[in-house]
Parts: sequence; C-alpha cells; structure tokens
Amino acid sequence: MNRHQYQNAGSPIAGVNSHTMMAGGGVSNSSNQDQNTLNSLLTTNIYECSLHGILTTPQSTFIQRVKGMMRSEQLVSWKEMVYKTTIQSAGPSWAEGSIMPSEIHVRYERNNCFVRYIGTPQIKDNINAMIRNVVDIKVSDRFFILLSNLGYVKDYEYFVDGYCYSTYSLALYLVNHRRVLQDGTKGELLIKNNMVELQCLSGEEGFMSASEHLNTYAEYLYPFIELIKFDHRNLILDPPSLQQSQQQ
Amino acid sequence: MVKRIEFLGGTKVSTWNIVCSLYLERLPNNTNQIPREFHLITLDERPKKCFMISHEAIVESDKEMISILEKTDSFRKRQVTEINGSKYELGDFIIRIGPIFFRTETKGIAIEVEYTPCSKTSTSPFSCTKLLSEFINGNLGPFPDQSVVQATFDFSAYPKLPNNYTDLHTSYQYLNLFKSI
Repeated sequence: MNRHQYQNAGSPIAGVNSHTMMAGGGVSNSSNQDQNTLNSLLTTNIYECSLHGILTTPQSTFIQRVKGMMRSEQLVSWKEMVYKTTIQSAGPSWAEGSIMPSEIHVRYERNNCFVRYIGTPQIKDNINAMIRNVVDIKVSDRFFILLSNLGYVKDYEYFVDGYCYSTYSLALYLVNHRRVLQDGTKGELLIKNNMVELQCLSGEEGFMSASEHLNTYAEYLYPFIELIKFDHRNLILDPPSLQQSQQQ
Repeated sequence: MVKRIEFLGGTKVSTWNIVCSLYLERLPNNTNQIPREFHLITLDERPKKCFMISHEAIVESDKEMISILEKTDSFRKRQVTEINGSKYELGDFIIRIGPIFFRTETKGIAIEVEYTPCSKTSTSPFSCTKLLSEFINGNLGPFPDQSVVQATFDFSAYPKLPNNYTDLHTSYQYLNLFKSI
C-alpha cells in the first residue's frame, strides 16, 4: 500500500546502452560517493508506520476534508500478488502468535513491476501505529518466474483501485479491493466500503514521532473515519488450524 | 596486455568490477534435498541494479533485492567470483581488462572489447563480429587458442530474454564465462 515509497525507491529500468562482443555494459560512471550512499541505504532499515480504517461515511465529504489537508491527489490502480515462502528458514517469517507472516508482494502498476518485502509487525504497545519493516524495489516483469524458482508460491492476489493523497511526509490511500477472476480480470468488490490507510515512513529511531504525526492527522479525520492501529495479534489461528499447521 | 593497450593510445577511464555470487537455499540439517540456487550478478556500471539468474529465468531488479534476501533468511551466499580490473578507452573501442578471482585464487584474465558505434537497440551486437575479431587478434593477440575469444553467443537457449540486446544478455554471458572457468 505504498506508492509514496515506491516513487522514492524505484528508478526506471535501464535501457540498452551498448553492445559488446563478449559482454556489454552501460556507459554511465559511478563515483565512490554514490556507491557509499547506496551501501548505506542498503543497510538502513526503513519502517512503514500506518493506521487503518474503513470508510462508512459519505465518500465525497471525506474526500473534501482530505483534499484540504493533503497536497496532491493521484489515481491509483494496480494488481497485487502476495507470495509466501515454502522454505524453512530460521528467519523471522512469522509474527509470534499471529497469522501474519512476512510477505513478498509483487505489484503490477502501469506496466511496471514492483516488489515489496513486508516484515512481520513490530510489537510496540506504547506506540499507536502499526510498524512493519519494508523494502521496495523495482524489478523486471518476469520476476514472478524467478520467485517460483526460488521456492515462493502465490498465496492470493487482488486488484486495488482508488486515490492516493500525499503531503511531504505522509500518504493517505482511499482504495477498494477487487477479486481476481480466473481469466485474470477484475471481479467483484471484496468489501463494499472503501478502506483507508494513513502511512508514513520512519527509521528505527523515529517510531514515536511518526506515530504522533499520524495520529495528529487521524484526529483531524475523526469526524469521518476512525483510523486505528491494527493489532496483528488479533489475528490468531484457532486451535484446530493451529494444530494442522504444526502437523504440516 | 595493459602496456599494449596503453601503447596503442588507450586511456584508463575508470575501474571495472563485476561480482557474481551463487546463492543456495538454506535447508535444515540432515536433509537430502538438493538446495535451490540462483546467481546474482552486479555490474559496477549499473550501481543501482542487480541481475538474478535461476535456470532460464533472468530478471533485473534494484540492488535492495540483496537486502530482501538477507531479511527473509532463506538463501545464503556461498561462492563469489569477481573481476577487479580497469576500463580503457581507445578510439571507438572500450576495453575492459582484469583478473578473475574465485575465492582467493586468480582463475584467469578477462578482456572485454566494446565497439561503441554499434550501440543502437535495433542492431545486433554480433553484426560487428568480424571487426571486433580483427581488433582483438590484431591488437591484443595473437591468441594461440582461438576458443578463448568468444566472438558470438547463442541466446536461443534463453527464450525468455527480450528481443533487443540488454544488460540481461550481458549478465548471461558473464555467468557462462564464470561457469566455464
């Protein structure tokens, strides 16, 4: 749910620049400074802080309010495919006591393909926002073939349509989700109401201020929608399912 | 070889670095399964990109893919083959030369010659095969074993590659070079 971050992280896939006999490459030069900046970005963890809600009041009045608070409005539409790993790793793939795993989302938007890693939610009771580690990258369109080769399987997929309103530091998504039919086209709405997600990005030190920032905005929107921290621990497997998953 | 390039008037313009890493699936102990594998290639001329190759599938992605692999903890880097060399400009040609390192051993010297006028997407890189062969044999050779000079490459084994020549083609060639040594 984060086009805001994609825009920062993604750069166009390079075109063809040269041909060579044995092997060829581009013609751009990179400085050590660029390399250092890139390396530091690779080692920096970025977290998405978010609040969620379902819009039950009239959409038009809500949009008017949001437009007054945000700088830009953008139509968004994409298809999202969620992949889960079949590899038994020692990594933090599951949140404790919850059914929310870390996931790899493949998103097709305007003929571009993006991949997002979403980590397990952080358990931070004193912070009023959901916090998940995210990594956003742009990939070529056949990435799903590679994912299959690497042992990932498609779990579910859906279409997302709606609007993204953004300011300098945060973004609000007003979207609905549609089922994917067998032929790959859009099906019916999964739920009748629009979903709202207010989000911003933060480093490891900024959870508290990011949360306060989000909640300040959420208060302004309160007459129309209640944006809350979604607690992933509410999604707990029921005992029979839990036993089944343990047996598997 | 470097002296010969410099004698011909070649000027060193930058370093040349290519890293090819083999990643293997992390399997539990005492299992007989064959781990999945893929190769990840980074080119210093594409500092923000990496190329991942698994079987016949090859994709280009942002370099942060490495970060995702670390976070999911599902694959582990096992072998690294690296070229650390220099890039020279000589008229219309770009010559890249450097030793190939595998672990701590030097496995050979890689030389890549690029003919820059042949850089339109519509033209085949192999339309100037003869010209490049002459350049390599005349100026950098002679090479007693002609098989070391790879003047053509058959991409038909990789039907999923795009029609136009891209960095994906380049990555395949490097992977095959590293596998052959």
